[in-house]
Amino acid sequence: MKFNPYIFVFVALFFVSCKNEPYEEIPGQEAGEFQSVPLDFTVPSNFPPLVYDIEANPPTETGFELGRRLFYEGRLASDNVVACGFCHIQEFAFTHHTHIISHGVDGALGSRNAQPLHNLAFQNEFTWDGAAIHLDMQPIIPITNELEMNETFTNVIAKLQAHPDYPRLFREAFENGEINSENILKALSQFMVMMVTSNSKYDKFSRNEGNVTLTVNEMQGMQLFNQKCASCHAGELFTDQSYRNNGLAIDPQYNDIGRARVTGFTQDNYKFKVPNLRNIEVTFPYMHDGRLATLEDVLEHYRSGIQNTVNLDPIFQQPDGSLGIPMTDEEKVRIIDFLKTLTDTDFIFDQRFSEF
Amino acid sequence: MKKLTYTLSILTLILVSSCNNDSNAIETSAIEIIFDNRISSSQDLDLGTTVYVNQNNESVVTNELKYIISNIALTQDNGTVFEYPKEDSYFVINEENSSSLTLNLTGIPIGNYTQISFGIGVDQSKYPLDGGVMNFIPTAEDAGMLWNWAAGYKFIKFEGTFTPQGGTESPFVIHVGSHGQNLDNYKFVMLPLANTINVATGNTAVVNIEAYVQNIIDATNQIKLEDTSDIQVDPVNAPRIAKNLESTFSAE
Repeated sequence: MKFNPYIFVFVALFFVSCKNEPYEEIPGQEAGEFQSVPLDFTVPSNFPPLVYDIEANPPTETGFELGRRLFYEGRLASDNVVACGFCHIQEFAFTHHTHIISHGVDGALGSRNAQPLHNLAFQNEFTWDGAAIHLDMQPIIPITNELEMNETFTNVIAKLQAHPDYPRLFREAFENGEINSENILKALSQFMVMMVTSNSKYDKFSRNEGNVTLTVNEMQGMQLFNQKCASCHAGELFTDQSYRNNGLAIDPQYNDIGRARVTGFTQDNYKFKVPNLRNIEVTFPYMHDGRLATLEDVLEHYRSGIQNTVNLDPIFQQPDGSLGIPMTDEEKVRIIDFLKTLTDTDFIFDQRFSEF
Repeated sequence: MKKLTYTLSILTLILVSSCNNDSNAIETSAIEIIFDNRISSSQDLDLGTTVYVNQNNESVVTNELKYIISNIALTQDNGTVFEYPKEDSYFVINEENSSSLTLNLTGIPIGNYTQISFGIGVDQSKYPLDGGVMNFIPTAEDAGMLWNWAAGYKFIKFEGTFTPQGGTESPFVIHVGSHGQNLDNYKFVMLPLANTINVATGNTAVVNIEAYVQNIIDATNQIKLEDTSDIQVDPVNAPRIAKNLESTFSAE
């Protein structure tokens, strides 16, 4: 067919006519090493369905990388130092290792123990009291809380806009290319959604992968766990995602009322979210305020340390009136043997999630 | 040549239809929505000075009044509803800041409008993926309408002092938002316009909204401040305030 200039002009017009991206390509600007290609997200076969609406914010290579940068970015804090990754350290399943309660800017001390970050796309609410009802909104709390990162979104946006890399990173990650609170939060979510821990020894055993077997002790521990712990630490996420008072003595220094802070209901006083137990071996110290240093201490608490405080969960009240979960010393050790099978070294050493 | 004409007309059709969001869209114009916060229809509000007596005989002075308006929609006399783009539809009305009291909306299809509707607060049922909720964060934060211990907005912030009859003056604080997924205090009101508004090319129509502050604590529900002067994450009284907000606004 002969070259027809009319058709050429019309086709060209067609392509230019609908351009409404706010950013033109900047020819001199170096492109990044990452592409805006969708990342594969597979729900592990032994897992419940996703809670996070991944269609609404599908992780891409560039979005994930931006999220990773932001996760480790001190500029999200007022002192330009305390990044998300400051209290959420990968090697400890993104908890604040050795810190009972988390530290914020200028040495400020919070009142709670940083929770592990993994399998967040399967959680329906976030933080110890459920103060965030969507993963995308969760980072608002640590970023703005004066005891944590103590920064405003207005300032964060200004700092990122003035940065040599971020304008390009946002353009590569999002169609509208804007540095705004929505894109900051969506990028962080893309990073966090990908943080799935599902390759522990337990998982491989559970999925019948590669002839992985549990030892006799671990098997015994699993059976004991199922009898004594799994009613709350239920299913493959090892939490039923409910809020319960597990009988910790009330610490007068904080008098943390837990779930009631969100709902305002007195019947929610002293209830905290049942934590998931994945990677529990490395997420010490334990409990919402980090008061228990070891897994031995935790099991001893459930055996002999339960206090009958307001709204104590009925599950800890035995028919004979005693409190706690009866178990022998040996049973405690077996349960811990099992809990250690939940450690996923693939996850805690996964290069994709590390700062450098 | 016939073939060429045919090809050209198809291409023209594609070209025209592919850009239906610009020049050949329906004609639009602008409106101004002006919020007038008053004690009642007959009494204006001055922060820190105006005193009014509530139904529990308490003298009330307002020191701060802010609330979030969202999801604005306008209804024409033929029943057509125009929803203002949600992502541009979040506002903080702050009595202290006069520029916040006038909302300038553009791109309103021309026509005669008989009703305005809007949300008070943020609709969490579509949280947060409905456009704009997340980009409203800096505005809400600057206005102090964001809680920093929970990922949520304060829908209304109403603070001041009250003096029971023969008693002494004390402060009151009312901050109402939703309580996680347990309690949704978002309200949506539909207000008939006392006079039909004509949105026409070349002029900016004005919608006046009056908010009667006295109704916040005295409408469907009566709040006695002497009994509850601090309403924050209060599962009993926060929904009672939210209910009252449904009858706080009128439009003309």
